[in-house]
Amino acid sequence: MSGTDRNPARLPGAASRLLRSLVPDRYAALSVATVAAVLLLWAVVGASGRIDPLLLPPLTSLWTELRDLIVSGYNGMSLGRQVTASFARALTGFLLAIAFGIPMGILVGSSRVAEAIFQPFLGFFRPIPPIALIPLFIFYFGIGELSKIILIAITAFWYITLNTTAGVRSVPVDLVLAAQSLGLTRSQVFRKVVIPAALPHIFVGLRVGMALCWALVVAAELIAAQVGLGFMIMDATNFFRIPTVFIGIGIIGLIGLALELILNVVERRTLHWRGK
Amino acid sequence: MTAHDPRPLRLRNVSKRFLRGESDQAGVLAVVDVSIGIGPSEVVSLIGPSGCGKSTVLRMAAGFEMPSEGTIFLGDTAVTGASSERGIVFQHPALFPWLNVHDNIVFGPKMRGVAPAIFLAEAEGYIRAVNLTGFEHHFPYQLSGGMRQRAQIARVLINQPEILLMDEPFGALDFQTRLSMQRLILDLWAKYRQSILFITHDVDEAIFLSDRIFVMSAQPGRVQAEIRVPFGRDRHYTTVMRSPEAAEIKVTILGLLGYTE
Repeated sequence: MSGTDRNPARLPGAASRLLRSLVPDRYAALSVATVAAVLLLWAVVGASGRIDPLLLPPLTSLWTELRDLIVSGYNGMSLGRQVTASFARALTGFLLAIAFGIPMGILVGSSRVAEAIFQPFLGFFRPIPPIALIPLFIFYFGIGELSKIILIAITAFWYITLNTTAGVRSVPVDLVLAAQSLGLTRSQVFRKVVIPAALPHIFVGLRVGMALCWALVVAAELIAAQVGLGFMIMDATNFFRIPTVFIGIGIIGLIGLALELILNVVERRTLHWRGK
Repeated sequence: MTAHDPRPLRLRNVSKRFLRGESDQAGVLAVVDVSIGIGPSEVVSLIGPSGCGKSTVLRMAAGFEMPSEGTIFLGDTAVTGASSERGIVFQHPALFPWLNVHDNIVFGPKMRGVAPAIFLAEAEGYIRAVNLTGFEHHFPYQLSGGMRQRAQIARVLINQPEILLMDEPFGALDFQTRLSMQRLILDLWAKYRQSILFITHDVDEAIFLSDRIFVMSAQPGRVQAEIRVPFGRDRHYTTVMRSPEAAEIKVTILGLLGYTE
């Protein structure tokens, strides 16, 4: 290794060779290495016994707890049920938000009249923290699935609408004029030119909306639920089952990360032309 | 070949006033009393300083803007909106970035419900005519500026427009690419014979391409002179540029544009 080589991902000797055989990209190697280092530190601290295991459960106890959760579930429901319960709520809310948000965004983005009618409401409700609505939604829709799904859907709806509107407005005028000159009807211009041209912005809305849905399902479950990851970590905290809380948080994080990666792949495939 | 002979495009006493907002009564007068005609298969250039309203004239001919006064006719029909009869070529090729070259080119006929058997065969011919064979599956962002412009021209030609409306189409290209594009325009004209209304601020380009040149003045834009270019359609750049006639026309136009030294 030369002194002028400032590549941060170069690790000394055998460790470096091992890592590079596992991950091809040196920056990916750096990521793997830092994550591994943090886990290692955690394991060392846990083994040293200097920190109260109730505050920071040792890695090994997480492992035992995870196996236990997989085998016997939590509160009479399997771990899979906890995950799918949360996931189903988030997904239902997200799909509802898409189903209403994209058409609303298109409407507001393309019609001055629609904008004048809806914009005051969209502008007023969007900045309200969704958590502030939870009590009211429970009052209106009960503590069952409905209040959670509506809360999730409505919050993602504001942002999907906002970005779709921005997308429709940012369509280059020349593209629309060119399409008209090619003989497209109004509705064809809309479906075949405006919507595809607005897709990059719509994707931004989907990304934000998805993150919100996942964050909100957990928040909603913290307050009132009998099953779900949010319920699990809340309930486990009450019973000092801290390793379970850590595992719940870990699963929430991993699923959020996975969703993001999936959307990235979809986006890169559909929008390869973006920004070029 | 075009499906039928092109009809003349006529602008009769066309003026355009842009209003800034609803309360603006006077507005800005962009174009005043422009009367020009483009005969069947004729190539006419509109030249003038920037801000003289030449692009506004073209946009009205395309049907993107309605004249405040006067009327534009294609044959006997008044122009009231955009149509594939009058194909527009923008300076910055408005290709659809999510479609490859082939799909961009067949987009018009496909949307208008032309049978695929017809437009697929035709597309091949137009792609060859603009020298893009082999690039059908490239996306616009993978092409050079000149190639994008050629793709745009093919996308318009496949609709068999009666007139091509070209808005400074080569203004953003480097000199040599511009020369080859001008050559292409002459070749395409020889093949398809559509009329052309060509907007430019490049005097040489106007002389090389046109049968007639209208020179505009600025603020408000009006036509101050009409110049006939005495060369046949089968012309070559070096011959034209060497000729005393071209030099004479160039000096005249530059004089009209205010370069008197």
